[in-house]
Amino acid sequence: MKKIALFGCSSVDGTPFGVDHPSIWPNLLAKDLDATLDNCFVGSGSNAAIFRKFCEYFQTNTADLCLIFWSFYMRAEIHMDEKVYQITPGTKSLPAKYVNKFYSHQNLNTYKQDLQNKIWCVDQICQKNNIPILQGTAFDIDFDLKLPHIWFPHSLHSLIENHTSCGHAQLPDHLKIKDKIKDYLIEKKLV
Amino acid sequence: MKIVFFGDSYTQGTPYPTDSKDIWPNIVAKHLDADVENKYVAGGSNHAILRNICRYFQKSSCDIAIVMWSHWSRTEVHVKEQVYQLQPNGHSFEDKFINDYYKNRNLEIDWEDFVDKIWLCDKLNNHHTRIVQGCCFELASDFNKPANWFPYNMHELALKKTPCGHPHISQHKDIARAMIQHIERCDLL
Repeated sequence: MKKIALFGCSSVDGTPFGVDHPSIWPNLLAKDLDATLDNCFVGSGSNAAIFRKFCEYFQTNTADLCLIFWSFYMRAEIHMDEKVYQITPGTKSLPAKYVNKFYSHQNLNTYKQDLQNKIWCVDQICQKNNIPILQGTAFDIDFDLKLPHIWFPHSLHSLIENHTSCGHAQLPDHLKIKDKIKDYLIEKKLV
Repeated sequence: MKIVFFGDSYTQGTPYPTDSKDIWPNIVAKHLDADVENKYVAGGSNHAILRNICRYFQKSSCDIAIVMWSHWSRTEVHVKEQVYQLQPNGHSFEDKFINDYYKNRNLEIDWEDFVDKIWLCDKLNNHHTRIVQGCCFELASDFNKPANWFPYNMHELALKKTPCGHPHISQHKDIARAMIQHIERCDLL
């Protein structure tokens, strides 16, 4: 195993411990697999931003294994004063009135379809470039998706027993997440 | 042989009916003796066009796909759970709404997303489906064009326009000829 490219939101960046912390699951996994890791996270990222990162990365790089953990499907991007913000229902980064108004207008069926399409696109691209890929989600999905053959069967959030104050995994749970992902990679012969 | 077209109103043939034998996609298909499907999005943003491409290829396949992207700055807005296609100077919303919307946009991101879509489509190119991509409008700047990129934009190919700014029916033949020559030159048959 040489290089892992990892994509996702704060569930893959080790929040609040930091992306370089040796005990967050991506770094534990890379160490176990004797691989280098490109952690291409987007903090609080929407799936649009995660997908952009994926495209940006593979236009100029390749990897021996690609891992993608999609974020909550309702997360979105908004442009304000030429800056791009990632938002989610209940986010605190913008006034609640603004966020509520934004979401009251959104057609969520389109969001679901776009997530389905992103999952399909990255699967196609990796297959055609012979890059083993494991996809999954950070949060549970409560609607039907046509999943690719290889799909991590747990949401990362569902594997957390003890949350930090910001709702992320405590370090012991990082070890558990790493073990689950590693076992699945081995089961599916991706490593 | 099956050929599928993806694009906006230029691909739809506006203002002529999509099943008119004289619009460019149908002329191309007839020349190639191919079955044709026209998966246009009227007034479509590139986001909507890509959605159509993904939806199509998840369930179907074809021998040749022609993707004519729309203006890179076209976008989608959601209003009262309806999805609208929006463009600068469009007439589907009040000027103030459109101007405010575009004033806030980060156009570098919009351009990057446009280039990503082209890259993505190119990666879908395979031995089952050959993909020709191009753009109906002039591009904002240069980028690494994929294989089989159609070297003209429809807007410049159509010297005579309808009142709604689309190629006049007399121009469809020229557009079709350029596309057929391109398909042959790229050895896609």
